[in-house]
Amino acid sequence: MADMTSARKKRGSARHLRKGDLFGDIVTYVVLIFYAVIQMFPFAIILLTALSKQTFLIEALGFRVPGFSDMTFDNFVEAVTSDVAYIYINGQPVNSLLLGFWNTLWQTLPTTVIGLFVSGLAGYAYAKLNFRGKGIMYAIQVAIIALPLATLTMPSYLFYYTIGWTDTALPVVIPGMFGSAVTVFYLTQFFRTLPTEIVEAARIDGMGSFGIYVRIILPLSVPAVVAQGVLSFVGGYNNFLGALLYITDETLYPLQRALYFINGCYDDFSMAGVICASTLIAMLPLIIIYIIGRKQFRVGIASGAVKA
Amino acid sequence: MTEVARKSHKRSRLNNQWEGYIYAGIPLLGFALFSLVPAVISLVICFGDMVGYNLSTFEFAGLHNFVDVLTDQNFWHALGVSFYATLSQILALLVAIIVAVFLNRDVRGSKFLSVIYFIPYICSSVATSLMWQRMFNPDYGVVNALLKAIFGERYGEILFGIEPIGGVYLDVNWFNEPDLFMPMLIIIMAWSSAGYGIVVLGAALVSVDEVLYEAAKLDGAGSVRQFFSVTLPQITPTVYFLLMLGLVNGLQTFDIAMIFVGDAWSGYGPDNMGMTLMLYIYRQSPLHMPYASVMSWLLFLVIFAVQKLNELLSKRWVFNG
Repeated sequence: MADMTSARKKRGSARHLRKGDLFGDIVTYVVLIFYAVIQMFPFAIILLTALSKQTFLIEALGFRVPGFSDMTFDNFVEAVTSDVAYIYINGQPVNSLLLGFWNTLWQTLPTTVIGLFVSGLAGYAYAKLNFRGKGIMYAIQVAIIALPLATLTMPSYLFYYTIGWTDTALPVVIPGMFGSAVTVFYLTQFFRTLPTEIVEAARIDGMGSFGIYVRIILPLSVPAVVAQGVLSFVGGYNNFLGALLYITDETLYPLQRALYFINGCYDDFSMAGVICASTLIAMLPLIIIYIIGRKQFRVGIASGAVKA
Repeated sequence: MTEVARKSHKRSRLNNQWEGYIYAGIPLLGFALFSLVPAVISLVICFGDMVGYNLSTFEFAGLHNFVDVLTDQNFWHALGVSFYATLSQILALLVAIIVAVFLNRDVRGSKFLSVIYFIPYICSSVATSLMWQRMFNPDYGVVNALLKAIFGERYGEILFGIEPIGGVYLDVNWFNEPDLFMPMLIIIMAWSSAGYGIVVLGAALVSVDEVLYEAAKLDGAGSVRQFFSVTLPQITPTVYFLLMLGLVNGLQTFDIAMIFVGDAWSGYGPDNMGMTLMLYIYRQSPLHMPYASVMSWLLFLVIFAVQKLNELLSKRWVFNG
């Protein structure tokens, strides 16, 4: 954090490079705009497809850009109302995309919030409390980060199967509530930058360790905590493998799993519009959250590289 | 210090003890329960056989699973495909360096552009895959339409050496060409992951000391020379970090391969070119869990070895100081 602010102060360090460098400016714009076009192009294409009438998509041989008369919002309406991709809960049909949103919300938000609180608590213990063996515990906590544990995702199925958690959402909900190694590491680093005198003063006032964490440390660390929370939420929102592997019950499908399911429900090409509309609807909330909270995103993302 | 204060100080230190263990212990407990225990189980079953997911049917059977895996051509092929897939991360890293350096020139509008650059990274693998399936669709996709517009009807032959069938130039079938299938996935993965590197490298670039550029300029270095002599050495620690992360992620390529090879459990794409090791493990798991476990642990070791090798080599090119 301290690093980032001091770095930001030096911002403009590159400005001097381009003083009067018209050629350099032109090259810069060409590269940057070209890359922006590449990055945005697929979004534009699926937006066009999502806006195309089904009859237009059937008639089109090869790729064609729809005119105004070929456009409609039907695909978006169909994506959230269609009965093709229904999932039945107690015999009641539910639109799988909307169900996916709901499932992602309740499967991700509590895990994010509790996991964040717990990670912070551990970070607080490492940064501000003294207890025997702290060094070793912290060393283990940090060493975990480098282990490629995701390779063991598939065999872990056996564990969840044995304790009876498959067919429930527990495998994607519970583990994250114990915090994450990266978040513990990052928050420990951050809490260390907070002056220990504050903690000492609060202790003399009779505040307990837990109270100090909740009422002093956390409020002082909102940006850092939020940045980590945003990252963890994005991870949960986009999680596909966990849901694919562990959640076999259709009614528990989170958004990404539901989107995959929807894609499988429509194989006729004329329905590409609905698939594209569903994809856009599934992406949009996160893109909006990102644009609103892009500062937190950047802090969180950059924090991941601290260990380098 | 008064007697009372000393006492309360001592008590708080003692309180600190058990509180510290509980607070710091929860994430470690989570790791033990949900990573270590499954890991130990999967390690043990490597040395035996079982029926389905039923642990009570497990019987030790020596090392035959290891022998079976190591003599399985599919395993080696899948490992090769996974390494092939890491090219996407190298490509993403190169793109990220170029874009981040130009972005760091801080021209008007670069803030807005940097917001755009990050959007693909936050899109899920499923959404990204569905989006690009539409792009690369052989009959209706815009990629073929663009190539046709630029290179004409014979673009398949000109670009990829695909012979016409019966004198007819067909559209390139990206989903069915062994030589194009993985390059397609690589382009998509690079597209979706470069945004991360751009942000991380951006943070590294702004913290390069201005004095270094001033000194380089006094020595008469132009912008190109400045890039290679000042910028690049200064950001090597970040490049190293991104390379490491990229290799680890690339070797675990799964989601996109799984979606692009299709739902049919029989196929792994044209000539099995979509058969990443994670996908192979995923499909072997329900058939023979110990077999899948052995492959998972071998991949674990491979990634670990790659990390160590990278670390070792990094001493030659990562600039510290």
